[in-house]
Amino acid sequence: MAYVPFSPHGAGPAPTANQQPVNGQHPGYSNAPIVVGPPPGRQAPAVAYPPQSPPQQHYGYHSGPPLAPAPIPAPVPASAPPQQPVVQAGPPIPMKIVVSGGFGVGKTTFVSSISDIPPLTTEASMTSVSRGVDNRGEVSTKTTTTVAMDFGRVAVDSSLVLYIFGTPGQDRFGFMWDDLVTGALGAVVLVDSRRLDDCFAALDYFEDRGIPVVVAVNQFDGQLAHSLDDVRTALSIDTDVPVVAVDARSKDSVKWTILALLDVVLNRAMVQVRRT
Amino acid sequence: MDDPGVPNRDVFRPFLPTAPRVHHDVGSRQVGDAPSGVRAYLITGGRASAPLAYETILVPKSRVDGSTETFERARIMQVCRSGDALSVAELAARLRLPIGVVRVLASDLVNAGLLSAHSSENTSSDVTLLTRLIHGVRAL
Repeated sequence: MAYVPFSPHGAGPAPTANQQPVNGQHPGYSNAPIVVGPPPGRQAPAVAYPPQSPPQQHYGYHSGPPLAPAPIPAPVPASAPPQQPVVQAGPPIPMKIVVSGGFGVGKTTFVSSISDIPPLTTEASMTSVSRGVDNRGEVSTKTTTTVAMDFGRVAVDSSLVLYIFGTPGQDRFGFMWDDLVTGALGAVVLVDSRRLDDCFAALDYFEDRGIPVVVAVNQFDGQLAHSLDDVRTALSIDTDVPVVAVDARSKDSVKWTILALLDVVLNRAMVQVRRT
Repeated sequence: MDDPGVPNRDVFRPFLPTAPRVHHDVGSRQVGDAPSGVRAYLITGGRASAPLAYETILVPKSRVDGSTETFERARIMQVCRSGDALSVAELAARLRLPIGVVRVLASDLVNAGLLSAHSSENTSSDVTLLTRLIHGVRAL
């Protein structure tokens, strides 16, 4: 579904939906050519928006001829989309999302479930040095932890690549977060419902910066320890933030979590376009 | 991205002195040897920040060989030249250098006209791009 903004030059002679063109002409406009574009005296926009695809839906009226009802765009095929041959001959467009959450909540597993490549990670065994510093509580049997950051790469289509960065789990690597989050579309905050307090820092961080977030409750051992509503209440999460259950080991589950996030991002972008 | 020379392990450990040796045979040189022991701040000349994002994709410019570059810069050029369009983060993982170091050096190479940097501005407000992304992810 492509969003088409209001035409900036909608004041021109606009045919309504009832006025079907007759032989390419509008009733009531005899031989005058159909004016597509701004009325005289207004500057035509340099580039039509959206630049590549024809408008597929129109809201209210527009200044062009009535559009044939556009089919719902099919999923972008793996090969280069035919209507956008100009976009990429060279490198793909990189996009980025961030996976965050408390220590030992499954960020690395999440990334590795969907990544095309083995996640490039910098993991080290927990050693006696980290004992007492990295408190993983009593619920985890985890023996490694991400000491820097890890990331995966998903080739979405021929010219789009999605990078998924896991933030370092420990507070002492917080300085890396700003770099990781700059330019990110949004963030998945992974939650272990048995250790809710671990994710407060991440939630606060993204809320402060106005970054789109989806809260994903990881199902350890394949089941939820608490209901999603309980988690939402306990974390006092806004109603516009989705709370979903995820099994970080399952590619499908991870995929739907990312889609839930992208939905939030898209909604936000559409609201922004509508405002401007 | 199959590197035949890389042992099939899920985890790279770039910064650790005990890291297993990972070889990427690029050209005539072995890239990815054990860390040299040179401090990161010496490699970057003390600089810590650069305008490149972690996901920025680096591509060598044609008709530039970069053979006059030395040390880490030369290794970055070699890996970039190996074919895949790699991001700053992937470069760092392949070279087993801290990502902050690679970012500074790559930014130097971009400024010197050896690499071109490809990133996308304002992706989060580009409805067309986001729609494509959603369709693509759904089809995974």
